[in-house]
Amino acid sequence: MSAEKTERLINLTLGLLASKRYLTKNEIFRTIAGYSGTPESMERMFERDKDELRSAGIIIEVGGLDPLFEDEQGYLIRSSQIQIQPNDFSKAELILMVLAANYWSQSNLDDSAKNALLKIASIDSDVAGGVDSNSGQLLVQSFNHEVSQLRALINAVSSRRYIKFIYKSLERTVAPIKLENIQGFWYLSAIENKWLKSFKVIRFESSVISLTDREPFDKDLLMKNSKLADSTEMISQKLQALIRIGKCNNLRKNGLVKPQDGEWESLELGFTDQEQMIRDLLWNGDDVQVIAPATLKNELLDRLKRLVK
Amino acid sequence: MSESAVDRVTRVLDLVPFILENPGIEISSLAKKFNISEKQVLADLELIFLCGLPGYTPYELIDLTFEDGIVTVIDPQVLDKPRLFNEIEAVVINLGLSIMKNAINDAKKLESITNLQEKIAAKFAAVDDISFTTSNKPQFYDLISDVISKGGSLDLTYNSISRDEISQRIVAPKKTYLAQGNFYFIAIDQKSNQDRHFRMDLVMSCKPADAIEVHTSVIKEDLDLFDFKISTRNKYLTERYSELFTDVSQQGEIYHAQGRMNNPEWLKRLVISNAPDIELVEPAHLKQEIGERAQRNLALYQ
Repeated sequence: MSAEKTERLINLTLGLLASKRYLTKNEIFRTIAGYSGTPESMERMFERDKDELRSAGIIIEVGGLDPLFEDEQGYLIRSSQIQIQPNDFSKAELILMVLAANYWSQSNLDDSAKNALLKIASIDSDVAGGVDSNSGQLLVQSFNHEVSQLRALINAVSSRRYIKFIYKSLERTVAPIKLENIQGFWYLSAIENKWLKSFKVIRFESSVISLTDREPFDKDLLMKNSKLADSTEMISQKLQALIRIGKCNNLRKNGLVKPQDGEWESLELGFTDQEQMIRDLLWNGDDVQVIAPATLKNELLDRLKRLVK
Repeated sequence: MSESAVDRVTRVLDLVPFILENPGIEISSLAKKFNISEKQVLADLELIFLCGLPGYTPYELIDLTFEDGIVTVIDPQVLDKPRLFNEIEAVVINLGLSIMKNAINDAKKLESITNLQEKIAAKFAAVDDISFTTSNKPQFYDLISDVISKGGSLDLTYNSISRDEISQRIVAPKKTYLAQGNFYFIAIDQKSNQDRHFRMDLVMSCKPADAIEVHTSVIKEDLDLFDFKISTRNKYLTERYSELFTDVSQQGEIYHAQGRMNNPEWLKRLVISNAPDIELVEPAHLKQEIGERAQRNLALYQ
């Protein structure tokens, strides 16, 4: 890294940010410190500088100086496009943002949360310093995910760029649509060959590569032409069972319980996920006795027999 | 790997407004906040000294003082405001706000959060496509958080899933956390004088109680070593309980998972409810108890 280049990039940012009008290349080369050499070398230097600043999220606007001479292009950075303005957020909103960012202080998104907190502390140091991150503050536990992978996926969803990765031993090229954390696991909804599929991020077998050589996709258009994959038909069923009085609290809270005898109560409970229902019933051991449906009862008995063996 | 020029540029764009808002800050504190060495902070400040607006006279350069390890910005030029949040920072804040919304019950605060989320979504389109789902809103989150921040105890009725019993407890809550979509709190249980983890949605009633005497040395329980065989068909089990396992290895179609835990009742129910995809190898006495429990369960149907 050259110090001269860093200095030139800072001066270019400051110069374009301070200007009230578009600056031409010639004006930039003449007034911004750090540009020297032949016109061609300065041109190349400027093009690289622009690209690097843009890659860091600094928006450089290109505009015509004179409507009659369209070929005379100029450059400008608007404060509103790269800086937080004094009235963007109220003090109450800044406090909420500090609390929200602090949730992540023990998770693997901690770095991004810290950067956000630094920016809030640059708007109002009282707000940032006034929230004690240790008192009564909720902490989100770390996920079992590589943080670099999460960042890549967030960037991909946000930039609407195609990505590729290996999943179930196959290389997938997908349009990432949505990233969702469900019960602590991240899932990527993505379109692969017109099929909308859900990929569990923890099961990715490679890092995520953004296909920057392909044009960003049109999310609405892709969604309109996509088909839902892996859809499982959920059939509503009703459990009829006997549960011991005072037991099976996880089942009785959602079901209809009626008295039966001195030891048992009857339970009716609707469900759609048979596998989950079997797990819930087995969890309660001999405090529950299934009456119907017969298929569920038979499966449960089969599993118990295998367990005894 | 050495730092790129543009990474250093963005740090400078962040440093100047931060120092401006925090005048007289110590270099050591800046180094900690920005996660860089004090030497790097000094190098950045030297660099900032040389930068400014065209003309580059003392009136156009960024002006700051740093003496005796203390820094103050005199004239930031146009760097008087912090950079906008980037996409990932906005996502992290927005996800935090979603979690907050699912936890608290204060109607006024909930409205403020919704308004703020709309404001963030208007600037960052991606936040709507990245979400965080939590379990049902816990009824007593506000009270529990309040007692933690002020200090105190709670009298609660708790539905223990692992023991399948509803019990009355007096506890001193210490901190709250979110794991696998559920809100939890850690509290010292008066009866056992041990740390216990409570799932907030299983708290059936809760009210402030007289402060309990908490012994400075909370008793730590011995943890039992366990050894599982898990079918590769049910990879989810190794993912769902990964924090319990100290070692997971694969042999053919079986995962061997080992770890330690202090709740044998929960362990037995876990094995029975996920049979036949999971099998307990050790401890042997628990394995025997699981077999006996399954036998009793079968007997109900004979």
